[in-house]
Amino acid sequence: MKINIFALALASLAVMLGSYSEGQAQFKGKKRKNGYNSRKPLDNPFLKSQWWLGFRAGANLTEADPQERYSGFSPINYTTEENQKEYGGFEQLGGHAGLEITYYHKGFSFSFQPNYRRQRFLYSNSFLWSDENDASNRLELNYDQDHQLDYIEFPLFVKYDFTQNTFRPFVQVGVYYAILTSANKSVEVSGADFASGDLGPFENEEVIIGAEDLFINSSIGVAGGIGASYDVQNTRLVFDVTYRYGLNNVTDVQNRFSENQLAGIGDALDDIHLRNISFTFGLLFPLRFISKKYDAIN
Amino acid sequence: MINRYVFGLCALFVVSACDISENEVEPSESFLRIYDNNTFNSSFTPIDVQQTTDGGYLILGGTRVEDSDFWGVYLMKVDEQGLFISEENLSTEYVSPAKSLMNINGTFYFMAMTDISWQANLFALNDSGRVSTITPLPGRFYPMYCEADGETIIAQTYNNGSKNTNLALISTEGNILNDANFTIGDGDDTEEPIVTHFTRTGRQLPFFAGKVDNGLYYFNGFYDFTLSTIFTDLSGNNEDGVVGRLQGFRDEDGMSSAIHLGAGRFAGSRFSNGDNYILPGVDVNVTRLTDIPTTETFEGNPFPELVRDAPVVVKQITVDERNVVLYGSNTQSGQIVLLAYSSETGQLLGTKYLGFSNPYQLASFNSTEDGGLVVLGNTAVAGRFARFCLFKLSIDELRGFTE
Repeated sequence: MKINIFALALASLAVMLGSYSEGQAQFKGKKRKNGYNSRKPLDNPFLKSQWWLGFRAGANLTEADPQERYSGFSPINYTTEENQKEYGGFEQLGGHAGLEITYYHKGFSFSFQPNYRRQRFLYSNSFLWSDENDASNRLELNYDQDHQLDYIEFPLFVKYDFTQNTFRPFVQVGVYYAILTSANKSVEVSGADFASGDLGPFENEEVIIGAEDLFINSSIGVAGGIGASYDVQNTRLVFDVTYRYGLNNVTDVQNRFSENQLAGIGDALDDIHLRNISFTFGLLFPLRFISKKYDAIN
Repeated sequence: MINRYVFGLCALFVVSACDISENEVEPSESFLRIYDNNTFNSSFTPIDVQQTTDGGYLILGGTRVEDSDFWGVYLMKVDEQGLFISEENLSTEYVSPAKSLMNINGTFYFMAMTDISWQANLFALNDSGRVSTITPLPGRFYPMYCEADGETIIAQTYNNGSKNTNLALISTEGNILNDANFTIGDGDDTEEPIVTHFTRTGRQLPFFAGKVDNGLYYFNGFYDFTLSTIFTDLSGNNEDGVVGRLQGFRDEDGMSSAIHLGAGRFAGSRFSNGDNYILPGVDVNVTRLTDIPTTETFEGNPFPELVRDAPVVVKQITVDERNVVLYGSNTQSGQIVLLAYSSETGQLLGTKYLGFSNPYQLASFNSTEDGGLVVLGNTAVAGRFARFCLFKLSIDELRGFTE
């Protein structure tokens, strides 16, 4: 399944670039033979196509979806659920920026949008040690762990524009493949140590550790979203909201325990799939001008 | 030009995506488990671990007892993924479990003593970690160490009344097959370190025992006021049954571990005034060692990375049909270190460190059925609660530092 989607992405990319080559040849051929404005403009299929190149940037929110849970602790006299991780849902703001190259033809577009993105997710868990004979013998610890995953992502979308006007709402679906470039996790420890005479909660300094070995390099998934573009002179402003649905476990299962510097506090990454909502603004430029009479927007 | 880019991009994707298909591991192959008890005052200390026929593990350890100076006997059974299954706490009556936990024909044995009378007992366990029989060993007190030798048990005990160390061959039914006493000598100079060893209020002394292929037995224990390595035929023909002796200096200088590799060759370690030295392969003529000081006999590789007077576990294991001498000990940075040496050449093959953030201390390790290694230790959860920890290394992880 994963490989099929991956293959589909590659095939789509090849088709898109193939179309580009064909379009270029057609363009050059027409130019040599008759000139591109020799036919009635609206009937000319060449004029129904356009290439766009531009920049994209935005913010994103990520949630980790645990598929199978793991813990470094195996409790003797309490249940594992008592200190199980609680995941935050789309809480930590990340960012992304990249390029977009889009081939448009008759309302449909193939869009390749390579980008560098930081995705963040968090979870927390709590531990309690107490003494039923002495209430002052009590220690509460809470661990809040924020994960930052930096990826170079290669998404490929198929878009459909609902209108052919200046303002164009669209939907897009696609696939993505991302390569991990770095990963960190930060841990905040808080709690209450009544046994040491503490009367209230304490909060320790945040600890940041490298976590690259805890995640595999690849992340693949499918994506879908909605958006709209607005043409301003010969440029196009784009805004879209896209949901990414990860299809593979991004945790490195072989290093789950052996390379985890937080194993001593019982931490072990679950098998997780990433879910992400991205809000993106883009500014696109046409790669060719159709005529002096007709501007670049088709 | 474009085709070249497309090809390069595709190649990059394919190579990078391989880690998705390879991102699988059996949960039983590699793990770390920390066995937490949320009772504030509970405290555990590990002794040894053995794999059971169902793929799980049996852990022998001790737990703090409120109304005794000694640590009570505590047993734990975990499954093949290291998840806790059951525990058995014998601490109300039996204390001070001694190294090791032995597997003899599928039954597990260990020694501990009765609280108050200090009578040594032999315990037999089933696969589930439940005690099946408890056999008192008459005239044996303070069990220091026991080791399986085929279907018999080499047992080292201490008699604080007659002030001697006893080495005995015991059947699995608890019958004494052969034994000898080794006189320590009068006085309290040796009594204090021995007692604090048992109460775990002082340094854990490196008691160990084994058998040489020429029929002699050896043990590391107190004899003639010093912590020495004694070679004996248990016949009593020689003085006190001593055939050879690597003499320490009180409890400040001596051997901290030793195993016999065959044909007069040993691997071990020694300590001297807190410093530690690894002896990955030394030839010893055990019958000509009488009263030779350990420090003059073996120099060894100094190992300042280890804690002072480090407890050292050394075993010969097989990795891919190769014999490897594997050392385990505790570093000053609070990690467990495993050092692999070639059995043939004594050359260091590699090292591996276990444990992050919390301090970890080694108790024991053993090979597993899947060719990996299980390492038992303890760690201080939240920096204060002493708990068992169990590392399972896969065969690939083991190969990574033994090749």
